[in-house]
Amino acid sequence: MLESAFGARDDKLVQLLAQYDPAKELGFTLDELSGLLTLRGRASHAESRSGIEELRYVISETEKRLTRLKCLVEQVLVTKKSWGIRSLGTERLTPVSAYIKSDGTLVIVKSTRES
Amino acid sequence: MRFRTEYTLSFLSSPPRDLQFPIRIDFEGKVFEIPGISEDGKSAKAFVEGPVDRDTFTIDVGPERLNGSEPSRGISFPEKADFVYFISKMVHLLSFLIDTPVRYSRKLGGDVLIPEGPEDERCFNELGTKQVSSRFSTTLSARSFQFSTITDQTLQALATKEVGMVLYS
Repeated sequence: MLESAFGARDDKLVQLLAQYDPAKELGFTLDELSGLLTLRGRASHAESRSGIEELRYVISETEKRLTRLKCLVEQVLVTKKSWGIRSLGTERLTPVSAYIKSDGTLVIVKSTRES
Repeated sequence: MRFRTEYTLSFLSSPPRDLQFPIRIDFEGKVFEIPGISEDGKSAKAFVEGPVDRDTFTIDVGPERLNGSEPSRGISFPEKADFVYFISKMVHLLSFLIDTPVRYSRKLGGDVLIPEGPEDERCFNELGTKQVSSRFSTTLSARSFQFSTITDQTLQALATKEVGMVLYS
């Protein structure tokens, strides 16, 4: 979905996401995004040829990071201004209400109202 | 000493009607057994049993209790991981052979150490427990947004991202 949103893949996609403000708001860094790209490569069928131990590791790591990645995907859906092109423009349709941090903990964003 | 652990299997579609129970597979020194299937055909109990080396046993001590009583103690042993891999392997084999997706979950409190002689009983006495240690972890998930109101503008903006929504859903 991220490839579809930015019209880019692999390293180029990672570079774009690292500069994308909504991703930065969730704390994503170039290092973390590069790590996710590496994990994705390991999870591919080609990498799975390494054997069952590799597959178990990849499944375990993917499960740990999936909930945070899902937050990123959602935020791209509700913020990306122009779909399918390599742009960083945003148009936020709704605020962030919660997200998972890189350490797996939950952040709940509480909105405040001016009296 | 033997270790026995209980799982619940969930069949995501009905397994073949001619599947015969009980199913018992002796493989790699362990036994995988499904005594029967539930009446609705959607779930079954499964057991895995095999030998463990009591010389590798260590004790896990639980957290301090609020009422001041002794924390729980449980026996831990490295071979336990092999049983987890074994059930995974058996379920994948079963799922493939009966052409039915199968999910499995370990039953809470379903782990039992079975002594095979006085030496094993003595081991329990020395350790002060027969209980098997279980560790749990959780993964938090959250939806990162919510719409309090959905306007025409919102719908129009999302409509331009149809590919993304199809892929997300």
